[in-house]
Amino acid sequence: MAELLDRAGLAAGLESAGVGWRELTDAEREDYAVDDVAPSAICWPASLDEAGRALAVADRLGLKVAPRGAGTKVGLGNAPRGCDLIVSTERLNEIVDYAPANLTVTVQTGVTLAQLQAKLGEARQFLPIDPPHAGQATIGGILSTNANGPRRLGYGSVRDLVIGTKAATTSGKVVKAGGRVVKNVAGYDLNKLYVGSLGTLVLLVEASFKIAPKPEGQTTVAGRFASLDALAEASRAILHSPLLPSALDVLNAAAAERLGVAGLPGGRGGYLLAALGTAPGGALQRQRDDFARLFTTAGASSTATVEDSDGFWSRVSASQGEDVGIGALRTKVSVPLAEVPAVARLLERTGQTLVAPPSIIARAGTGIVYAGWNLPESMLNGNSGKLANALAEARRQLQGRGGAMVVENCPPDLKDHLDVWGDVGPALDIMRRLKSALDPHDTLNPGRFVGGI
Amino acid sequence: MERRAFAAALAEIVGAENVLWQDYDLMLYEYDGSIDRSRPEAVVIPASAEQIAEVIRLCAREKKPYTARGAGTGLSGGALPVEGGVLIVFSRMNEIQDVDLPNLRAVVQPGVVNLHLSQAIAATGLHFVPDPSSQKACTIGGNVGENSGGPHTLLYGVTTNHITGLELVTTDGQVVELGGKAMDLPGYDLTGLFVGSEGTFGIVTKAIVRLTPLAESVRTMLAIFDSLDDASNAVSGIIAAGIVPAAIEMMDHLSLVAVEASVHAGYPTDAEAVLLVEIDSLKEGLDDQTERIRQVCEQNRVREIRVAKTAKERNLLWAGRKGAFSAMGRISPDFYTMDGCVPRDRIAEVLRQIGEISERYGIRIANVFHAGDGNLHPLVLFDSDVPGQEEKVREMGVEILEVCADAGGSLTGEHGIGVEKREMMGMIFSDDDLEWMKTVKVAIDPGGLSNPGKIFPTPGKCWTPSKKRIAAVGW
Repeated sequence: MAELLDRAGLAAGLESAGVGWRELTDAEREDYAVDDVAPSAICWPASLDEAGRALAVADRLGLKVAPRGAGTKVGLGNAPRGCDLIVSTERLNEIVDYAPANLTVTVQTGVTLAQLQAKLGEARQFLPIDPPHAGQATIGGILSTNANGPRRLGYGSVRDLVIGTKAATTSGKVVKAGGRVVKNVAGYDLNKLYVGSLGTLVLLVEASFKIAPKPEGQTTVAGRFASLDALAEASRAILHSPLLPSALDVLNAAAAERLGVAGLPGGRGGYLLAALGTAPGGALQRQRDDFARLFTTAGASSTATVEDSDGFWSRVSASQGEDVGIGALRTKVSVPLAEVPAVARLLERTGQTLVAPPSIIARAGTGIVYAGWNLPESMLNGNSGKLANALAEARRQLQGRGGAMVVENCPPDLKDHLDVWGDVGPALDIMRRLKSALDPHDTLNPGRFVGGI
Repeated sequence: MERRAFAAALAEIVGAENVLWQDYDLMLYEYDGSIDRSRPEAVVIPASAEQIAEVIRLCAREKKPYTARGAGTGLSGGALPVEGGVLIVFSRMNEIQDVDLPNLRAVVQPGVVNLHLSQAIAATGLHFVPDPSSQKACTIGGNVGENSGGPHTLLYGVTTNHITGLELVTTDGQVVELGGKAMDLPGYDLTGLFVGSEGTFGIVTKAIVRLTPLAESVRTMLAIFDSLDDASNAVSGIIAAGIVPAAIEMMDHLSLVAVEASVHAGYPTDAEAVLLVEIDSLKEGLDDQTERIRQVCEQNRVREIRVAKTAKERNLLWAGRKGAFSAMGRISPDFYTMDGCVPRDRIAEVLRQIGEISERYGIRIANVFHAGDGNLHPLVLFDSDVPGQEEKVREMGVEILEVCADAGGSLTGEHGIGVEKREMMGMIFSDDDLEWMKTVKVAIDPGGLSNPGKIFPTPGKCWTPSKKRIAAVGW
């Protein structure tokens, strides 16, 4: 679309707005492309106001904007209807306010999670989220994609931890919601609206969080189960107990192989259930003992304490985002908790249809199930229709179980055959009204979200 | 449509016995827990979402506003029909429809009383976490509308963290489901947006709530201080030490006097402040946390720490705390409840400034609040029979919230803006911020009939800074 770009208009607009920018070379255009739709230019606002002005310039010129942090989630969503200008948050990289005695922090959204954790670690505190790409992902990207990891069971998801935001709008304003205190019901909780909205409403430029003290210790116990029914019994017993695990994940054999933990806790095959305990004081030992006991009672063939607990969970989290390569296909399924075993079975059957076996990581305590395939080349050429049908059938069955499936990553031409989000039902009308009220010219990430938003 | 005809039209939907429209009946519904009043044109008591949808379609045709009301315990006027119209009362929609143990969810109608849900499932070892002090009366529908808190939300979060789905009658009269029993369903998080929207986006007719295991063991401590500053500093000291108790509540001298006159819970009436600290965890974790809390309190010159030895002692301490608001009746004819929230490391100085406001006006203020969250509840004690006092009290309220806003805080931690604080929104939000929120409101409720007159400042009547603030900043 480069030939349609009003280069002079963009240059004049951004330069008078004081926003650094440049045109992309052909090679760069390919690098920054969103599903093969290549942008023409990139800009780097260095303040909240500059971010607002940059959006306003694009909006006025009718350019389509793709906000960008570290680019780790650029594959999420349907193919955009247009993508002319990348607005990068790279220069919005300040930790604005950090009050250890208040357990809150405020950052600009280009700050990476790793930078933030390093800062908070100085006071033995942390932002208790553990999404994939933890080394590169920015706060803005994590919020916009609602990216979470295994510890969401114990600490809540990023949606539960964000207490305030500032957002740049396509009308050029910077608007606040929430604040910097942990309890606040003044005005609408627009923070929730923005989390997971994939940059289709606003560009998030600043965010405040409640944070947590780092646990003094942690323990992880893994159990091996031959059957999903026995595993389900173990996870039910733990979730209904007062043990309050911080994470409780299921790994199938393929996932355990991929993470290099297949030999844990002795033997191979079947399913692993891993529980993380972070209770203070003498309760840690109790968590360890009780996890192992409940695993055994439910029928685990073996149990073991995982030596490098932190490293184990980092690998579990990272594997949610590691599926690179042309044949990588990853789905995220949301279901009521008790459906997790049935969903794991369903996805494994879907795996057979797709030839390759999926690796499955299921959050037993939150009902989130990730399945990843590395499809062989033979599946890719001209088979997209067949693939899409298999996924549509799985999705249909999940909807009957009160769940939904999002295709988070897939071969590009698959997106021609399916909506990666699926049908969101009658609430779509309200979502569309919000989109057209908040981004009336359809400037931000058009077409990438649900229902063509 | 005149009132009698409108009432007849409503009666066709819900039955004549479920419509109130004569002045005598309506008087009962003109107030809630706030200090404002407003009378509806009619009250309907529907039995289903479908009936509510019909009521809303009728209101849309007749351009009548509508307001939802649970138990009317709200403190910001959320359930007051400030622009008249229909008050939708949920006393017939009070069923727990589904207790889904395998999925750790319950599905409830809005009229279910908060405490009734936890009582109904007590035998399962689970509970619904949000526990506002009014939980014996307040409804879950009201909790959803206001995003209510309570003492135990310090560790476990407020209402929004415990709601995964809603059924809603939209402003065009459609019944729509948002979210569900599963988390992270695709699309905008409308459930999160709607919780705490104070009934301004339509009428919630069902909530899907999370159920959480009860703690295995609980320890409740009473830390007694001879200075308000020391007690405040102990709170931020506990937080800074990396301990997150289930609850840290503070009561000052005046509150203690009132509570003891009413509940006889054994609180010391000669102390300047007490902290009610509760930790809950596995039993092996209690001693270690108790000891660390004791150390922080001792560093802050605590006079004495008492640990509740029996469930009876513990319940009595909590009865005192949860009964504190109503206990004010023992020492004052009226009281006005504030709800500011401040960073936890600013509590001491904010309380000092609130004390100065009290002295300057010569009107007493009792403080009883969720200190662990920084969520203050100054209770301004007054007598509405004294001419001019209510006016003075409202001025004091503005000054108190200015202090909270200036400390980097919020106007409300859990009670909502409602009608009470709408003109003060300018203290913490810019015109652009409010305009943006209004855009969201108009997108969802283009007709503006869903609980109008709440949250947003009245056009042309924004917050006027107090005389003191004007002097201080030189305006």
